[in-house]
Amino acid sequence: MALPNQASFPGPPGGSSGRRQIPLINSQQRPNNVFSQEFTMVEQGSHTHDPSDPVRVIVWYDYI
Amino acid sequence: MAQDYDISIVGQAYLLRPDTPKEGIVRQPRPGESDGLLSEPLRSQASDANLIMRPPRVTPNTMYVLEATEHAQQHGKFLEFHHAAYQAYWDEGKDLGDLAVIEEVAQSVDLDSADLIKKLESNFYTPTVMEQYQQALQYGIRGIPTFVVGNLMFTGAHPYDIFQSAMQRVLDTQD
Repeated sequence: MALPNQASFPGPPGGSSGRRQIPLINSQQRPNNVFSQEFTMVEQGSHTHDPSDPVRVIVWYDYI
Repeated sequence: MAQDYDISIVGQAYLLRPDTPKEGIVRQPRPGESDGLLSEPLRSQASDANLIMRPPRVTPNTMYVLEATEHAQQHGKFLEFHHAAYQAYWDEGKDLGDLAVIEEVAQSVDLDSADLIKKLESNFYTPTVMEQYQQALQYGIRGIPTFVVGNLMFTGAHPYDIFQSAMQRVLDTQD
């Protein structure tokens, strides 16, 4: 079970079973305070991210 | 954003009002709402985003439509269905708790509505939707929309430049 601040998401199909932790961005680089929580994702999948892969955007939504 | 960047969008259901009865509840006007217009700042935010949002009459139980959206996602039509359902509710005032409305929305994006309704009636997607909701609670998410772009999480309907800023920071970390 992932910790509250460590989301686990499935990696790309065919990726290895390794897990990696994406480092947090230095807080001094923040352009503003909108990004109140920086999200450390522990991904299952390839150890190296291919920049040519699309950036994953997750949205939690409801309609009301 | 999907038009400007190479992104893959993953929709995750969130039950904002999990206590809403199956038939929905009559929505009480919020302070500041008038003449079919939402209160501020929602009114301006919707306008800025070119969205038509009118105060709906009913707050529906959204379990069916969240499950239907997951069905659409699994058929490669998350955004199409999401936009159509959003418009049906906020623009046209339709009840998203009504299976007939969901069927109509599904047909509008060329989904097999008979298959969808069968799956909704059998609660086929209920475990998936509940898992997504529980996951959100575990991450401390308490409102929607909540976005995760790369490793940045933020909640709320922000101006587009915030999304651009998030994307740029994610892309910078890949260099």
